[in-house]
Amino acid sequence: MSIFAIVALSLNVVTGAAGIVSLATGAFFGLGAYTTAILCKAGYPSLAAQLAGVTIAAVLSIVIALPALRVRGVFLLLVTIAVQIIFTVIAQSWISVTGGDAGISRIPPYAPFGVPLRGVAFLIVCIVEAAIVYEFCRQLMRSPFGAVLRGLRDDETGSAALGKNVGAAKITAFAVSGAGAAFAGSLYAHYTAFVDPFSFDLSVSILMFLIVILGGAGTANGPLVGVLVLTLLPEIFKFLPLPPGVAAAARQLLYGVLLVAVMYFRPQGILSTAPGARPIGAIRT
Amino acid sequence: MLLGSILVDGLVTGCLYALVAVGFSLLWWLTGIIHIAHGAVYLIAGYTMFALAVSLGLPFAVAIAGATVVAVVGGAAIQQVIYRPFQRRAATEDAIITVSLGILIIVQYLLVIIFGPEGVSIDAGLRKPLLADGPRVLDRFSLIAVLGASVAIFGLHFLLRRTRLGKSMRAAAENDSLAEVLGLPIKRIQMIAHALAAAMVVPAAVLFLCDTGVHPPEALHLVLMAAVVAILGGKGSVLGALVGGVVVGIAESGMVFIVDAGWRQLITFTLLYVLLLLRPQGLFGTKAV
Amino acid sequence: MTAALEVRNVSKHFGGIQVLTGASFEILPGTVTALIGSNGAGKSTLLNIVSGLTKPDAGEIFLHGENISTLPAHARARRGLTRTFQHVRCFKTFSVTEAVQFAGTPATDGNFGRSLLRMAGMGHRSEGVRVDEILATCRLESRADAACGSLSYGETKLLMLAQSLACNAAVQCFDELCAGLEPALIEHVEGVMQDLARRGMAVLFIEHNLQVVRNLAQHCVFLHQGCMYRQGTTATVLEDPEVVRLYLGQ
Repeated sequence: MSIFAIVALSLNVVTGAAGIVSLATGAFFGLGAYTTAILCKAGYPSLAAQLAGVTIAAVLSIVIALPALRVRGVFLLLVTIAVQIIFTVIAQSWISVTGGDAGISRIPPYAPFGVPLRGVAFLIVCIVEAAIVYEFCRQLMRSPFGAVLRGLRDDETGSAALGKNVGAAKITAFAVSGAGAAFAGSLYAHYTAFVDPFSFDLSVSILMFLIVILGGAGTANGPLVGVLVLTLLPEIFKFLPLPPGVAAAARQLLYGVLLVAVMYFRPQGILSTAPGARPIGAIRT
Repeated sequence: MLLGSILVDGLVTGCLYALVAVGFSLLWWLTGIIHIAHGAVYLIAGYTMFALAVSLGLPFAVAIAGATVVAVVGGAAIQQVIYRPFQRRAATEDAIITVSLGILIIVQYLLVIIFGPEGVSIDAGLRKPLLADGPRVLDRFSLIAVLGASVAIFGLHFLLRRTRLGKSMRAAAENDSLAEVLGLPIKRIQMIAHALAAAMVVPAAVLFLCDTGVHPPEALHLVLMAAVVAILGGKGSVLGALVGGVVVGIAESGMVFIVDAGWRQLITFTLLYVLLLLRPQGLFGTKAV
Repeated sequence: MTAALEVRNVSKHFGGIQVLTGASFEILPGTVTALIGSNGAGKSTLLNIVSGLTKPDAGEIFLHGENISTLPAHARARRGLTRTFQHVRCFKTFSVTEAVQFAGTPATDGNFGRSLLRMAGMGHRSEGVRVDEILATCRLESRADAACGSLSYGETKLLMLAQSLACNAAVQCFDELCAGLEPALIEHVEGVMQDLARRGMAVLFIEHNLQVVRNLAQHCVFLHQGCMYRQGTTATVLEDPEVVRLYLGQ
């Protein structure tokens, strides 16, 4: 759960603060996971692999960010979807590196500074790291940079006219978001000891998006609430007598219902104090 | 003959994409809504057709008519029940897209829960080649697909260009507040557009049903392809959707001979990325982004 | 004295319409210049080109003698050239105080790296703009904590003025700031702008309200169908028979 919290918090920077909807989160999450999987199995230390994943993600997020400078709204959303799908296809097809649909298994545990962590110890480290990310994101959103992001969400042209470099801000927001997701991805790889293309596909991106908007895009605690709700709610299904395949489908159905419900009843999310019906993004252009 | 096979196969697939895309493009142009739930209408059409033709054993023509009715009602219902409240509240573009996606997910997984994940298909024997010695791709299916799509799309084009309804739509698309002031029934026009879009997707659903089948997990991908085609052909351009669809279809088809099947999607979406980066208004659109 | 702002030979067409042809003028520091003309004469387009939001087909813009024609809008704002917008825009999630603060924060502070340093406790705090003073000048003190989205039309205009003051640019442009304001407020705004000029800023404003033009502007530029029809002191331009015929009416 804390791993997803890290992803959600970083997505919040882009989607919540800057108001840009990105469905490529799964791809960056997966990028970190696969990098860790490949490097750690090749014998590299965990922290180095994690750092490698984060750096690659930050650099590759430029790939999304560049179109972000020229296109907005739906077109940008399609770009993020395209990137997400491209990642999934590569993960599925570049079998020599990624193992294709079968994925990579038996990933060694997280071992910062050479000390392998399992079970409770790993959990504690994850929580600590999540707390650090939380504080970082909170401070970031209150900093002048955070104000620029809010400005570009509310009125991009106006902010530019006031001297703010909105282009650089967008690129940086994407980089932070991608890096955060990759960071979490590497933890996830250690946690499940197994990665495959389906753990990091479009539905994961959609789930992350739902988490952010459910809790309140742009708020500091929103993503946490979102993660809490969306990790606990599906547990209900465990108590219902459902045939195995149905449970997974039911969970996705729940996400769909929540997407509609949040937008209908409380688009600004649970925690947001902003006036209603302004969840994300600026006025329709 | 290999090139011929690619071209025909691509043409056929392209026509199917075009049928799905034209409704999507039309609605985007007219209402500004990115109708991801179009995929839901597609699924509803396909499954209804299956239910009527196979489960109930009704003759094909009746089943198609029935599926069309259900699809149109479904499409109109989405507009009335789902989109309208949001439009009234002047919700943001992102909110409506999110809701549309939600509807698609709901329909997709309801169908999976009720009918299972394998999807449905009909074996109507359309895939038998017309000429005993001729190329395998030249079968009844291909003929119906290309002819059907052409008729439907040119018909729609004619509707938009020549009839009064078409002119009203164009006026509404250009400036809906002004059009409303001048007395055009915007809500009714939008409803009709939704109905038309739903109707256009029915033949595609039926054809897919008779070929590889209608599978819920593919719905989102199909809508994405529709979006690609709509962007390529230009928002609102009916003929552009046809051309765009064929281009994409042939490109995808040709790709099989260059790369493995798995990599095909990679090229399609890389092209989409490049397209959005360089020319978001597509081949036929005007620079109004 | 170097011109604060010089516009040289700017032309622009949209589709088939030639909106601006060979527009040239300059404004000196410490002066107030009015840009007048009928609707569609190209005034807003010219302002968009000056501020960097639109690219001209030809022509150059100079700020204090430096050619800024290739700079993006935000870079021009940083160098001391700001503008307000005719259509009311607003930073909905900001409060009035935050909006003015936002405008007044030096752009480099918004830099990611700088923000990181600040968060770590390092990096110097640049002197914040005096928000209270600016709000008082713009008669917005009572609305200091109000959300921008809840302001009236007139108050939003005052907010735009406040933001311009906060940026404290050497050249400040206003696009129909007085439109829709009540007479008492207009007088007040005139006073603020005159004060700007007295402090050495160059003010350029687009206005249809000729009383304001007469009260405020020393110089006047009259645009007609994209051409610089007349330029000169306000008195000269407003009494010019051509201007009277084409724009002022009898």
